[in-house]
Amino acid sequence: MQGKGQVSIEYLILTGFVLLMLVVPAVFFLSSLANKGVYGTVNTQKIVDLGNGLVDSAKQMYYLGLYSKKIVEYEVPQNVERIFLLEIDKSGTKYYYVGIIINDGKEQSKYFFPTSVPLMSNISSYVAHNPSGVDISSYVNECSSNLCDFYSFNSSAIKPGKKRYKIETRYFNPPNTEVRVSISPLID
Amino acid sequence: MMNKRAQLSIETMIIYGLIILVALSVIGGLLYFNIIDLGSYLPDKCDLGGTGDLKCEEMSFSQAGGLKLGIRNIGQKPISLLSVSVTDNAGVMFSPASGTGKIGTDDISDSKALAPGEIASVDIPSATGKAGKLLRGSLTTSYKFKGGAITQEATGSIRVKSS
Repeated sequence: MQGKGQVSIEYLILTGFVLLMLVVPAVFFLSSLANKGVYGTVNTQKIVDLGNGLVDSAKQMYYLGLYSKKIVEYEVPQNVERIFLLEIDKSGTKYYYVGIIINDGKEQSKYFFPTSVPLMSNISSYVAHNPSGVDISSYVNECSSNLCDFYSFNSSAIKPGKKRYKIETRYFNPPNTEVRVSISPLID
Repeated sequence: MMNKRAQLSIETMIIYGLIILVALSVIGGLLYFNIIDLGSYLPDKCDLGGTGDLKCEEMSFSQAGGLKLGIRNIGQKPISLLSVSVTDNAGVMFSPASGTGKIGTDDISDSKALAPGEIASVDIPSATGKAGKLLRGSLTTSYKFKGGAITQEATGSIRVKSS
């Protein structure tokens, strides 16, 4: 009787071991699949929300007039390599974009959100103007043959999570009378 | 007597369990080494990725006609340049190939832009299929908004059965 009980226990242990061997790789396999699918889609939606949100708010503030101001909150997605406000001068015509570069370690994806309103930012510890260590033409091919001016968000401003941005219309370079929309991250 | 029957039941269940495990492992192995392909039972799928300005709505893939895509502009701005390149991930059916977007017979251009809501056709004749075989590929779409300065790139995927 005792011997049979032992055989049963051994059966159970063996079955448990086989199950463990199957479940552990399956969990890794399924989680990597889920990461590629669901997580990728959610992250892309966050990028689109952030880009379109900033562009739409900038447009709204610009047309409300000088000194219009609002604070918006968007979620910065995962794996952000760079967020920048870009001005391209192509044969005298200026084009403005909000650019979001994502790098998950395997591939780099670039998202550009065009806007018809002129953009700028407040230079701070979170925003640099044409930083020397950044080659903008590596992100935007058009910048190798055209004049590009950009404000690059860095450090905490590109870390994932909810971030607030101040969007206001003001003079670009007083006493210059050019009006632009300033987008600046507000980090507490 | 009662004890003995209970033990027999447990052992039977364990043996059943083991048989199921072995069967699942064999199926898993066949899937892992691509000996059986469950993907061929899934419906065709075409995803362009990017910021969601373009949507791949139609596709056909054949030995004779190559790959044909119908791409709709679901954004808010007209598009003045559209090209798609496709790569066969397995590298069996064709080498990387590309095609440009057309409206009717005209290439998309500044004067013939793809308006929001309109659909463009993209023919890639050199992307030829093998009848009955499944293409799992990557799509790289380049497009530019009319009056814009940057040519944007979006990376997506395609799964389509060849006829």
